Amino acid sequence: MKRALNILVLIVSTIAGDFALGFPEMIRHGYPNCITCHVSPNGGGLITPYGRALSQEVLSTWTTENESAFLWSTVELPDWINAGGDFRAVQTRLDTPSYRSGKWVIMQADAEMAISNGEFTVLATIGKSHDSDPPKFIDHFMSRRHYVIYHPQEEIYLRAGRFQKAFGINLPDHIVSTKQGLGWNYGSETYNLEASWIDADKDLFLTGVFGRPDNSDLDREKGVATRAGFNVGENHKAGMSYFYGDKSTASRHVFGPYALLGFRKDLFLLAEVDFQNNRPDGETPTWGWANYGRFDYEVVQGLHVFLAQDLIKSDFRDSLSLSQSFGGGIQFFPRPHFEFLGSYQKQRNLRVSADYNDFFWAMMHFYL
Amino acid sequence: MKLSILCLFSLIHSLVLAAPYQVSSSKVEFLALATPGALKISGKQAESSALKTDIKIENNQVLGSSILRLDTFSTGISLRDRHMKENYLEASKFPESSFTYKKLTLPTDLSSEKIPFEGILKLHGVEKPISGFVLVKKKGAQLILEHDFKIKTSDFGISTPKYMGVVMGEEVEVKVILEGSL
Repeated sequence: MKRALNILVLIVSTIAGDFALGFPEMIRHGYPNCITCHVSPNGGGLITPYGRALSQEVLSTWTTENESAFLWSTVELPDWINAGGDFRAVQTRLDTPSYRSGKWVIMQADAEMAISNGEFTVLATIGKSHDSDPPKFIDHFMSRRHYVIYHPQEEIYLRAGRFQKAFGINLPDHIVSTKQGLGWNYGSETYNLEASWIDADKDLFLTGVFGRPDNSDLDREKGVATRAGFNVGENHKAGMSYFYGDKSTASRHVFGPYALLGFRKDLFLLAEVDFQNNRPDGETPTWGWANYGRFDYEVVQGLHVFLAQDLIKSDFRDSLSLSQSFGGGIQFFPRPHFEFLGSYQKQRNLRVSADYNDFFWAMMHFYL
Repeated sequence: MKLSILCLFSLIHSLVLAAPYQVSSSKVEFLALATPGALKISGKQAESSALKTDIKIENNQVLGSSILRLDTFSTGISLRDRHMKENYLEASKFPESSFTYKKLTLPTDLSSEKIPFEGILKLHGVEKPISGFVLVKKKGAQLILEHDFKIKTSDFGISTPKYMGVVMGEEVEVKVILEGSL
């Protein structure tokens, strides 16, 4: 029972990650670059007015004119301000041979604003922290992301601040092995300097990672990350990522390919494989890998069914270091501002048990 | 082999004499870049019948013209199509675009090569000379002409397409593929 509880706590805490919602699958509509619809060059987070229009036009099942606008167009913002906000909550259910449990978690309640002036954009989020009983009033709040973007010429973006580095597919689902499994889950945003080149056929991100100088207790990795992507035709993209990180107890190299394949407007595959060379201080280095795949079919506009598989083996020599899951789900965007997702998975962690557990989670997301 | 030689001979023979070029299928596509994110906006004619041709080949010269109905163009996103047709192409006011060959000389042996062409394009009510390249291919008795050229929307009085911060570039690459027989 204690093991099952541990599993549940692990799952809930990782699901409650920083869902900086991105839609890499928009490649199926011919959108290979995130910056067209998001303020962030690497996607996720605050969407642009065009992104809102597109969410209405190609993502939602039902819609009326201007329904996707900020606060349904009840508030007119000047052109130089962009605002939004997200509320997400999840219901989980874990079923093991010895234990059943469920939990309702509010994952995110954030407001986000960007102010632009010429080539500069400043963005910050403010939201409820996950600390249930903070010692100071100010600790009830947190800013997941805050950064400045300088856009000196068409293809070039420079960014400084706190955000998630570009590595692999910018999936909104941070519980997967290629995110959480590699340590890039909830609260793992670091202070970074990023330079990116984005053109019609390729993109390149180069990030200097400076950890969390504001909170050295967290002992976040410092290092570099790079990601290069190449468009293949109008609806496919493939690329490679590399990360080197160093902290007080270990360093590591992580690298691997990813692919976004839009077979048709209603059928796509997202896949990523990453290899990790972990080098703990004073210990033998290990090699492992993580991979994730999602095969998705849009039944009618806004209603998706998908199959997903997820695996991480942190040390090839240690058979117990394997965690894996597979299953499927339904994702529904009924109208602009609303998203619902339900997923059922068989999953196991050999460190806990060789048996597969049943895990179900349902997520609702509302954005302003 | 004999059939191929016969087809080729027949095609080459037709190039010399004045012969109508009967287009059996056509494709018209365009590609433009928009910012931010170097977004590729591509469109194509949804119906082959939208292009009507009146082309003949005489002494290796391609002569004649074609007329394209603009209301069948699609970019894959309906709102974008509506904006393209209503706000920029103004397809209700200028429902057709036409092209007239001024200079296109086919190689006598119909070898696959890119050859230059010139013509007059009428779009959005404005006539402008254009030039580009044609790739000539032969497939059995069929002669395929793949035209590639670039236009600037401002040359034809089309205002810069923009929507919610995404702005399309002025330069548009156009590809016209004709497949037909002589």
